Amino acid sequence: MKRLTRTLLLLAGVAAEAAAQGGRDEEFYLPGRFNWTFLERYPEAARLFNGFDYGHAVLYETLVTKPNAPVSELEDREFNFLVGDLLRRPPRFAVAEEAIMPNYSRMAWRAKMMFERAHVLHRQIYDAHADERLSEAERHALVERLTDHYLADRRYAFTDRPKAMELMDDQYFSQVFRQRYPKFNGLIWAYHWLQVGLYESLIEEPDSASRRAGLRDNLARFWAMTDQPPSRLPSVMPMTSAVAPQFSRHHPRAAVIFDNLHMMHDIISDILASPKVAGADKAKVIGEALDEFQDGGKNVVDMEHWWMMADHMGGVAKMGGVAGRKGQRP
Amino acid sequence: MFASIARPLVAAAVLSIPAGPPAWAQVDYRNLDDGRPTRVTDAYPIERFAFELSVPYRVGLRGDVARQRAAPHLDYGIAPNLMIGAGLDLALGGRGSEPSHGRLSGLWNARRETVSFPAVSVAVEASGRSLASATVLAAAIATRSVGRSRFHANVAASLAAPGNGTERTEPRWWAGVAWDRTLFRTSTVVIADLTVSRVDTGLPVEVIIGAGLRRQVTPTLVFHGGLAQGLTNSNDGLEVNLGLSHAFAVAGLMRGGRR
Repeated sequence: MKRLTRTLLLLAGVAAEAAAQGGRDEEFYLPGRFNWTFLERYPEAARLFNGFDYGHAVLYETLVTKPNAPVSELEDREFNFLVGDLLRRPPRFAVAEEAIMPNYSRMAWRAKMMFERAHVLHRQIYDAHADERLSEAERHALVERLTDHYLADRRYAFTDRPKAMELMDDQYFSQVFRQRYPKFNGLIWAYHWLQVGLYESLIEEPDSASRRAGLRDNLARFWAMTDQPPSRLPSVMPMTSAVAPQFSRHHPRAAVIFDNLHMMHDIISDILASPKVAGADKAKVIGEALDEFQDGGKNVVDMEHWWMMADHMGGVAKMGGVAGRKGQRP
Repeated sequence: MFASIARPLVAAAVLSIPAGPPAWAQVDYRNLDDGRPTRVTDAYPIERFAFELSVPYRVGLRGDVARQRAAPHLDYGIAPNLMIGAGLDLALGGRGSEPSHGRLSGLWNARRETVSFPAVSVAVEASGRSLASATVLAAAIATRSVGRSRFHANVAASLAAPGNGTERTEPRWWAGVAWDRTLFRTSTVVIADLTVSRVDTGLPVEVIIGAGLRRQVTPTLVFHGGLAQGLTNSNDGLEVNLGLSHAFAVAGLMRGGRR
């Protein structure tokens, strides 16, 4: 009994010391029959997103572990691997991002979790809108319920209030990444164009066959962007309100969350790439930016302004154009 | 313990089948657990609110004797970073097999991996034919990532054991290390481990090496297979194991899930 007590006390002591850092806080997402419908019905699009996950992960890991690497490491080697290989033959299932970016994950776990939760929301909304067992009204209601569920987790949710573009473009570290890595940055923006653009096809097309045709059309437009990079890649961050206006009208909260997510993607790229942020300070500055993007009470713009933001940024054509077959092409 | 665990476990197995595709994040293949396929595990529990039903099957070959066992196990992410589980270890045949028994377990991820420190978890497991005669094992588990590889270390010691040594279901202590490598394009992890253990005071230390893989076959289903070889005179047997694990959740148990 003495031995048992001693061992338990020792374990408790070790655990208390270790717990100062906290665990991983991972959480299962909302179950339902709609899950995985998009992968099942449209694997050519769903699998592409698995390749996108690798692209995001390898970007951050490279910036963290090889801050002095030549620009060609991302602009040529990784870009060519992505566009010429991985995205052409994407993995069947999600990429374990932690295996691609272990150092970034250790440094910025909260950021990783916030991106992961927002990506799960992305994926579940595809699933909801791809599930033809649901009526149109049920699909829209399900997306709102998924958004409620996402926002209820205040530890890791981006705010659903649109944040000011100055947070991305006008800070002391801003725009470094896009200037130094125009191809890779354009590819990330093309990802974001497709990620919100596919919603447009799922929502605007009336039946299964035309939805599939709309998705294929959007995929073809994505691949066309990757020709002769960076000339055809988006030159401005795609805004969901402009690229996917129908989706944004039906689900404005989700659309704003995705714009905040995509802005945060760019902000972290800038923080990691900027020599103005010392290596030892990068985790802290990322943490401050995350705080900002969870706070819906400051540096926000009203929804009317958000709808016009694309025009202020140079127009939707620079973002890849309005998605969907009825959309306006650049 | 045997009967009280068997009923809910069978019910969960049945319930999980019509649950269909609700799922995990397609990376469950990286979640190592005892016997799936190696002894050494990683320091991470399943996600909060997740259930995971595992059905491993193994055959131990020693001399001309083949002993078969199945160990269905249900885990649940009951709280942040805390997983509990219940399972059975069923003797399916073979001369001299240990009798079937039940198993209750818990694992708490106290600390995730940071720049300077590995992930750390503590685990407790009780197994036996009844609670009164259960062997209770406490373990400390650490995991460290290096690129696409991870290294794991497990140390376990029994805190309580039945007076009659023949009813002991776990060794007095064991320790092990493992290496795994993630092949992200095929959603596969390959694993190798080395364990040492002493079944009871006065008995020789046993050394076992193992290797295997886990592979995602659907968004919610993982296949595993592996081999383990004893390297000492007291245990020079070969063990082959195969199995499946399925992740799911119950909406009614989640925040905002009941509609």
